Amino acid sequence: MTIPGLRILLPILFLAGCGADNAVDFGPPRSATRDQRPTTWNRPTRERLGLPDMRGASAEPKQAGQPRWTGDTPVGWEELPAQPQRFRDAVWRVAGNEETECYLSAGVGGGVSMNMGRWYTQQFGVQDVPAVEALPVVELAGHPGRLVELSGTYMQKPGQAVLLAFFAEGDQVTSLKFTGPEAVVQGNRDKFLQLARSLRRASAGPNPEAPPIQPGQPMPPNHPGMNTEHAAPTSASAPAPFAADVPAGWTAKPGSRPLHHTFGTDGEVYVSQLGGGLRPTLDIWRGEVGLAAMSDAEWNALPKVPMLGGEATLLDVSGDFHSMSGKQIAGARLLVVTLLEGGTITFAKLVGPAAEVEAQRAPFLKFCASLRRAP
Amino acid sequence: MSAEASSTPKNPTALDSAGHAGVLRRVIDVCSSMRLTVVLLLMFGVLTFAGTLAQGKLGLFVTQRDYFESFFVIWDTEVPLGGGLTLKIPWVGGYAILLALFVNLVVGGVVRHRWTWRNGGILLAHLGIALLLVAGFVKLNYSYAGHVALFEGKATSTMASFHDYELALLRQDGDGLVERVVPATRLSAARGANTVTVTAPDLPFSIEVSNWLDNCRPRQKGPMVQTSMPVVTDADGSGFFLQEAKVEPERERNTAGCYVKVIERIGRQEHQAVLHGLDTRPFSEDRQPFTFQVDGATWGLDLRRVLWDLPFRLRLDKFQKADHPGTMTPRDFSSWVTVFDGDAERKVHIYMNHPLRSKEHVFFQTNWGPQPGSDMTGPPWYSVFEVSVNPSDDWPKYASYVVFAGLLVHFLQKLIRHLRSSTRRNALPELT
Repeated sequence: MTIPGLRILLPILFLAGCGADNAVDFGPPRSATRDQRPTTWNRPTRERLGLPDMRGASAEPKQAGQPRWTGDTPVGWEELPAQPQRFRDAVWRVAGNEETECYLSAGVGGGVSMNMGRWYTQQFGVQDVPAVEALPVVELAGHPGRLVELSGTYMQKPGQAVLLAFFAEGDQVTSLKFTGPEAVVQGNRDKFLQLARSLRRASAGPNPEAPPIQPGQPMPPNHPGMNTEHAAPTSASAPAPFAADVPAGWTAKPGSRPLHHTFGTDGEVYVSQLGGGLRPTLDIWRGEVGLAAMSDAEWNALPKVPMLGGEATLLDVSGDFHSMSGKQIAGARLLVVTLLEGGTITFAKLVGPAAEVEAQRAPFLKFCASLRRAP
Repeated sequence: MSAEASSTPKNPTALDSAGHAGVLRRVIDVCSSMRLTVVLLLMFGVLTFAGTLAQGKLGLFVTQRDYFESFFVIWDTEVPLGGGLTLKIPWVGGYAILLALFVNLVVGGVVRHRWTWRNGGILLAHLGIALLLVAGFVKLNYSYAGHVALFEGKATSTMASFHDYELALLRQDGDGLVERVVPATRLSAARGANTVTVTAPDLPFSIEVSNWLDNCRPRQKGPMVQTSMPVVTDADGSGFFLQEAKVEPERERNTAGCYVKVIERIGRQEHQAVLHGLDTRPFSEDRQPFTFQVDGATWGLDLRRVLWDLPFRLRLDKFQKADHPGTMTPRDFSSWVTVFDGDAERKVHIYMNHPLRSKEHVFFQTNWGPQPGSDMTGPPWYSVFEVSVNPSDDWPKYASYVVFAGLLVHFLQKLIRHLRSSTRRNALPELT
């Protein structure tokens, strides 16, 4: 090739190499049958991504006709629709003032210290987070709670203030938070405290979408017997947040725990959810069979199994079992499959005599793999 | 150089020809050199050593790609040099070495050798080795491989890649769908806020892809969840984002994700979503794409492992695993399958070194599950087959036959010549 030719070609090659390929075309269309591409359309994002409901098994019921949070709306305020997906179980604001917002978040995980760190440091830039005992006591939904009062720049807006009443149950924090311009917030302080005191769970109301009962209409199959002693709800009849293929030989156990079953002489299995870190939680379960906290090597070696569309962690430990509820099994084996999603741990726990657990291990893992959120 | 040649310096063409011939001869000498062969084999030995060490850290896929399918590699010996630095050695990649070896083989072994019956065996052996290298080249560039995982009683007509992704645009079409795909390799520039726009002329929208992550988990935004990633809010107000995870050396353990924004051509309405390429096979083949409506049609976007349609349907009838006595370590495992090809059915037993071969597809028994730990016992199991589609699948076998035939001919010729010369030597005294 001649030198002039190279002079032309080299810059072209250089530019071609430097150019970012930021526009690409799809390939040609091709048809596929349902057998080839089984597809479920229009799934909600959470289901599509295989995520559990972050509100957990004890989440606020969202369906019409079930209990919800309510309170006495202060004069000059207005109540807005709840947004449970945004952790706003009940919402108010100063009437017509879009700069204000007051909402209740019930049962948010993370514990008091983490939540206080979030309110003080992350949201208001306050580094010195006071001790919870130093905060004034207020009443919130019938519970003794504490009051946080902050002002400054909030959500990149200066001149803002927050009033926040909260109480904790274990790791779950329930809070009523009122934000807005500092003057407005301070001017509505008494109304806020009044609202906090009045918060309560409303009783279940009728489902406005339910059809009227017709004369002669039979009772639903799971309705308690008429004129008989009221039976405790069984796990089969209780509204459970999960469903799964239950192995043969397991017996449903009445109670509130989802998918609670027994097997063998003293074995039991159930599914539940809780907040907190995965590793500390696993160490607590190890403690139930007398084992110390995991080393890094043990932590890294924990096997993964499928559950709820994700990779769950399997804890498989043996020893004499002493649960926090007092249950004891000598020579026990404990299997826990845990999936941490969005700060919530969903777990299936199986415990029993070691020999019986050995036989149940494979069915249990199949049970976990089949676990799904109830529609 | 002769006097006559030196007396004609004014003829540049002749000079050029002579010069070119000299250069060409030198090039051929170098290319055909036995020393070059030895050097290349030594270099390949060093590369194999380095790649073996690197595999522990980088994993099989990355090592194979960076060390053996490349022209050039930086070998990180991990020998500390102080200051957090380690000794890194630039080295020639496997692709370049094998290419050079091929040229060396062809030029030295085939072109330069005299094509006589006397050299027939050697030529044949060189031809066989060249065929072996060509088979490797064809496999690297024109083959693909994936897997099929099935529980007993389940059937499928698709195979999925172990680790490559594609973005699929789906349009609902009656009970089926029409799909178009773009391989994830084309989306590699969509890191962070950089976007790659994917479209086609007949589509009523374009799609912007951004924040591509090689390994990630989807998360729901909540009060206790902080993130620097964009949060996409769905119709009911819930926020979702992708949380980056450490990229695992075993590439199949990674799950890619990205953000997409569909922009309608008319009206510029936007639809945003988070996509996560989790593969739920064999527990479920059902895909749940991000669904949106444009012009009354239902569309979907799905980030998935690359899918290929099989030319037949495969059902796993039975899976069997046998352990070493007194252990839970599998001694062998095998599968009984049925191949449905049109109206024809064929039962096949797949086990170690006995793959199913059908219509250019080769199914090897490669794994089983679920394997939560090394002590997993009892059913139900699923069986995993590696599926390879390789035009040069049988070429190494034929190459081995050719090499064998070449060496056989060569050694027979040697033997015959040796016997003849011995006979002549023994006969000489009698002649004198």
